Amino acid sequence: MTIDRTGSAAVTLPSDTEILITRSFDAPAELVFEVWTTPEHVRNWWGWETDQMRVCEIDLKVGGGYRFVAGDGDREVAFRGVYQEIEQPHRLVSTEVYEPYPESESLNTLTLQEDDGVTTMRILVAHQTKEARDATIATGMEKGLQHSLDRVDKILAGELENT
Amino acid sequence: MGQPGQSLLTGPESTGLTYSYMRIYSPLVTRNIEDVSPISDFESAMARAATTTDAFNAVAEPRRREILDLLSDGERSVNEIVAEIPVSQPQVSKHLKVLKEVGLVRSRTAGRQRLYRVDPLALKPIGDWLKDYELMWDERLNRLDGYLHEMQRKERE
Repeated sequence: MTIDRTGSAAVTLPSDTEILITRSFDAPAELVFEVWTTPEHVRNWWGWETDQMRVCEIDLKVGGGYRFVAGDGDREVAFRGVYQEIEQPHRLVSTEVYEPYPESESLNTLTLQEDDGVTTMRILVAHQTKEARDATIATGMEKGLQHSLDRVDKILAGELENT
Repeated sequence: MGQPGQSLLTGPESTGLTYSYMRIYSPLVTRNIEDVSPISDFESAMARAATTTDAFNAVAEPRRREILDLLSDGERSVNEIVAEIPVSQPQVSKHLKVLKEVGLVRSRTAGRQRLYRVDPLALKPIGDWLKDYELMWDERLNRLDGYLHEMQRKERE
């Protein structure tokens, strides 16, 4: 039996400087952790539908870094950070910087809790200021807008005629 | 770098799947405003500002968010608000005026006093702001979900 979990990601704001993202997966924590932290796997899901993953580097050790770059034509998004705590497969703490805004570093705590084969993922994004947190959330607005514009482009190009 | 947040996820998760509008005011423009004026001038300048034309701008001001927080607990008069936050009565009145102008707050007369309350519908655009971020994550994690399903299907074969 498969549950359709599309649309089940939830975002809440536990405090003025934090964002909490919650989502469950029908997979063991071990596998989710592996897929989250191995470049060969990350390349297959990270980024957006239309994007190509251009860089995917992961040095999974405390003090090791990661860098993800995805893009579509001239548009490119790049994130990087450093791993702070690794407790495979239940907990991963890392810093994260969205490269255009190097001053907006956040500390991200990923936890995976497995119950009866279902793994609940929680990503707590802790910013240093409320302004930095709000700016991060505002990127969603840009992305949402971009997504809508992409759809318009496709409709105009007749690509969505049969969908 | 702060302490890695070992206790960050251990508290009761009262937030659940829905988020409270009261927690999501977005001071999208706060930083810009504070950049150009010292905090001491900030409050009176903001209370006077006639340029506040939408909910986003109106909630960019910290005192106004505080007032909205109070009103989200229930109707209050100006004096009741003044008793709960360290702001003078004229300042509170000015903030309320701005909040009323953008429709975030409504008022009614009860006896000799005027009572103010929040209009949740007017907060919707601000809720949508968080919704877009949620959609972004949803899309990304749906892809992860699809990939996990595919991997497990292959493993079983």
